Amino acid sequence: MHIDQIYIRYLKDNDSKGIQLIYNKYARQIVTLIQRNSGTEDDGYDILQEALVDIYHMARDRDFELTTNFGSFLSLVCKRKWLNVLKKNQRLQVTKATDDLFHIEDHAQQEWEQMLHQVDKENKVMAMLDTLGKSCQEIIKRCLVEKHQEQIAESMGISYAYLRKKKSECMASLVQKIKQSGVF
Amino acid sequence: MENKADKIQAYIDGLLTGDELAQFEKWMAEDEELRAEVHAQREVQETIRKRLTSKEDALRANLRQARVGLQTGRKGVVSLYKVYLPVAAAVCLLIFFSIFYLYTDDSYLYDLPAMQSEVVRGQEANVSYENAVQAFNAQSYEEARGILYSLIEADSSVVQYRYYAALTYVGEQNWSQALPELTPIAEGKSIFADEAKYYLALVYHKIDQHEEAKTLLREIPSQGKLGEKAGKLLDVLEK
Repeated sequence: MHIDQIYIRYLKDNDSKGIQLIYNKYARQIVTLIQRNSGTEDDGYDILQEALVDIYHMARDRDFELTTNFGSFLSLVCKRKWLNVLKKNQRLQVTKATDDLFHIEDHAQQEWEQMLHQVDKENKVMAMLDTLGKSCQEIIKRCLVEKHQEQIAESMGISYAYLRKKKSECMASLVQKIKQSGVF
Repeated sequence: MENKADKIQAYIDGLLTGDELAQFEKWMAEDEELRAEVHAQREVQETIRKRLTSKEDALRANLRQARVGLQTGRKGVVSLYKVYLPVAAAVCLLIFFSIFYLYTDDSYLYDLPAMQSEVVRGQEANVSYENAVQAFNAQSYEEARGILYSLIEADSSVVQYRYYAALTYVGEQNWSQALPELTPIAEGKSIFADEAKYYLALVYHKIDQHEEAKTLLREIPSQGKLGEKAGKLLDVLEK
């Protein structure tokens, strides 16, 4: 196990002192990286935060082991995220040369790439959920987390049958949106 | 009548049994598209469930705190870019939507929603409610209201009955009755609160109390179809 696995542990445990250490040690490096690639200081901090959240999900859901130093790995995740932002905002004409800049050759890194791709996919599902109406969001979230659906219906002032009908309707609409966006 | 979405959801929730389950599984075995839909829906549900229980919010709070901790004492220079880009974007959006709306029919903003049936698998149909659904959707508002009021009498805690009963007055353009019926629902905390706000705003608009209408529309979150409709109605009122 790489000695820097401790940083992954800090994130996984949501250890505030450890997280402060990550910021103290790596934030400047990441912010500079983003600023050198058409970003602002705020962009740098935003990308760092989102990259750390992605790493948290990777560590939490999967058997993730660091095989290089944390700084290199964090840079890779941040570069990847920043490239996506540039593509989305069309602030960068994406060419083969640009893609090569972020090309991953190492086998371990290819595994990370697969994990990060999965995290991206999940991020997009959650972003799509946020585009649904408030009542649909509430129904989906509560039905997926709480056990007793009759109680959910009662607390929402609707019948159990109506809740189930709305849930299937809202889920179908969400899946449709996700499909249209090309996530699946 | 159950549709495909209901069946998929019932299957995923484990509510299909016996012949119904066998029939659905046979349908899935024969229909690749259905199989893909079930798989996608299951994956989406799993993702949402996992994320909602991931305690991501607590992590984000610590990340924000760490950023503040690092930046304490260092005041960032606010660039002109940060100030003017959002303003420019907002102006562009305003121009775009102004042009767009000039050429868009907005009659749908005044339509009532279809009343939702609640026939689902494994649940005995509430015949009275389904009759109310039929009457409401056929625009027989008085008949629908009569049935809904009898349901309210039997169980006054179900907001959904009161919401659709209130909408029957909107359907009849009986604004003076619609107003007191919709107000408590709009002010409440049920899942119908935002929809009730929208139709209450419509009522205020119809009785020329435009400021009240605008205030209500601004309270509706911008996400989803309702948010979009509220935004468009607000534009109509502000023209």
